[in-house]
Amino acid sequence: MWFQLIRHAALAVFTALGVATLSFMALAVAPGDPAEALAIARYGTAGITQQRIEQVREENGLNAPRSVQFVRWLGRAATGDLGRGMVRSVPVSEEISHRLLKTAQIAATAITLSLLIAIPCGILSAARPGRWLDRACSIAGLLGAATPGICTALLLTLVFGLWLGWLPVAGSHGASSLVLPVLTLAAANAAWTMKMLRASMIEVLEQPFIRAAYARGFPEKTILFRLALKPALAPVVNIAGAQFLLLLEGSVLVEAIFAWPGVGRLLVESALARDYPMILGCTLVFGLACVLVNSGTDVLAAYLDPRQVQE
Amino acid sequence: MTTSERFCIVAVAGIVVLALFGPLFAPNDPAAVSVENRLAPPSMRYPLGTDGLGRCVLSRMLHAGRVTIFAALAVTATGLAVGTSAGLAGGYWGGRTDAILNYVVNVFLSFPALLLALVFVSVLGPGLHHGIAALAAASWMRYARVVRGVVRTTRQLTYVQAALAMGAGPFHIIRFHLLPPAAPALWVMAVFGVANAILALAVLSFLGLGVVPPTPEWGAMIEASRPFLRTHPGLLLWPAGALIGFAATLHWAGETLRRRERLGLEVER
Repeated sequence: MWFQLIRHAALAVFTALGVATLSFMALAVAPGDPAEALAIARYGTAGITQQRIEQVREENGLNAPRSVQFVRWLGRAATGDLGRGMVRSVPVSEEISHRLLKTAQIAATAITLSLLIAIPCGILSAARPGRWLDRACSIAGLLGAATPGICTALLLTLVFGLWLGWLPVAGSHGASSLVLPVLTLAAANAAWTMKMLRASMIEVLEQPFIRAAYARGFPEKTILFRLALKPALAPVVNIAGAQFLLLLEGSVLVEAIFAWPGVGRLLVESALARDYPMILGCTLVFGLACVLVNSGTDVLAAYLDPRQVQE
Repeated sequence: MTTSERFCIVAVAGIVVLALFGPLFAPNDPAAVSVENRLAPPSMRYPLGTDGLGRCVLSRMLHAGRVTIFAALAVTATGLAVGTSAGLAGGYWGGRTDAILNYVVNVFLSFPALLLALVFVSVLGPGLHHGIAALAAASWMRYARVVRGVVRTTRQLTYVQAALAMGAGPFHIIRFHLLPPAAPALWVMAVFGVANAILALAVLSFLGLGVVPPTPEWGAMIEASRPFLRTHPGLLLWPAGALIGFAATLHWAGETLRRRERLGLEVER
C-alpha cells in the first residue's frame, strides 16, 4: 500500500513537470515578441521605443535562451511566482487564487448534484434493464452527452432567466446565480456517470454473490444500494479523473456565458487578449489540478476494488 | 440487424446527405447582409427569418452543416492518423520509445482537450484551419492509448510470434497482424471523435476562437443570437437544434456500433 502511494506521488510529480513543460512550450512558439508586448503593456502603444523594448527585454531576462528562461520560470513557479499579467499588471498567482475559490464553488456543487442524479438513476436502470426508467435514462444520457454546454446554458437562460424570470442570468450575486451554471455543468456530468454506473452495476449484479444474497432473502434495497454499489462504484471512480477534466472544460464555458468570475473565464479572456503570462498560469493550475485528481482517484479506486492494485 | 440499427443507419445517412447537399437547397447567399430585412420573421423569401445582420438563417444553417462536417472529419482523420501511428510505434517497439510516447500521452491527457485546443488557438490565432489543427492536436492521445493497449497484448500471441520468427518485417506485421485487431475500437472511437469535434468546434467558434466571420458555423450563430435571445429565440433554437441533432445522431451511431462490436464503454471517451 505505501509503495503504491509513493509510486503514485512520484508519477504525479513527473507528470506535473510534463504539464508545466507543455504549457511553456505551447506559448513559446507563439508569434510576436514578448518583450514588445510587455513594453506596450507598460508604456502604451504611443510610448514604446526600441530602447524601451530592449530595456524590458533585459529586465525580464528575455534575451536568455528559451531553455534558460524555462528553468527560471519553473523555479519561480515552484515558489508561487507566476509573473504579472499583460492586460492588467496584477500578479498572476494572486489573480488566479482569488478566482479559484469561485470555480471550486460551482465545480463542487455541480459534482454533488450530478452524483445525486446519476447514482440512483444508474442503479435503478441497471436493476430493471430495458424497462421504461432504463429507456428514459438512456435517452436522457444520450442527449446529455451530445448537448454542448453552450446550448444547455443558453436554453436554461432562455427558459428560466428570460421567459419565467425566476433566476439571474449573469454575475455572482448569492445562491440564486449559482443555479444555472451548476445545472449546466451537472447535466453533462450526470449523463456520463449514469451510463458508466449502469454498465458496471449490470456486471456486478450477474456475480454469484449477488445471487447468493437474493437466495438468502436479503431485501432488494439492501442488495442494490449496499452489496452491489461498492464494487460497482470502482470503475466510476476510475473515470472520475476524466470526468473532472470534462467538468473543468465545462466550467470554462459556463463561466464565460454566465459572467461567473472564475479561472475559466480568466483563461478565455486571456486567450482572446493573448495575455501569455495569464494563459500560462491558468493552464498550469488546470493541469496540476487534473494531475492531482487523477492520482487521487487512482488511489481511491484501488481502495474500492483491491484487485486493481496488482496491475 | 435490429430495427433500431436500421433507423440509426437512415439517420446517419440523413445527416451526411444534409451536410453534403444542404447548401444546394439554400434559398439565399449565406453571407448576404441586408440591413432593411434584419431580424425578419419567417417568410417565403426567408423560411426561417433573418439574423441581426439580415442574413438568411436557413441558408447559413445549411452552409454551416457542410463547413462543420468537413472540419470535424479533418480533425478526426488527423487525430486518428497521428494517434494510431504513435500507439503502433510504442506498442510494437516497446522499451524506451514506448516509455517516452506513453509519457507524452499521459501529459497531454492531463489537460482537458478543449482547454488544450483553446491554448493552441490562442497561440495560432483564430480561424477554421487553426481550429482544426488545435482540435486534432488535442484529440490524438485517446487513439494512441487504445491502439497501444491492443498492440501490446496482440504482440504476445503466437501467430504474431510465428510471423516474426518467419522473418516478417515490421510493416507487414503491423499492417496484417496488429492493425486489424485494433480496427473495431478505432472505428467506434472515430465516430465519437467526429461528434465531439463538431461540438468542440462549435464551442471554439462560440468563444470567438474558431471560424472567423462571415463563415457560417453553428457555434458562431449561437454566439450571435445572444443579444436577441429574449425577442428572437429562434436564432438560438435553430442552430442549437442542428448541433444537438448531428451530435446525438453520431453518438447514437457510435453506441450502436460499440454494442455490435462488444466493446467496453471506455472507447466512448
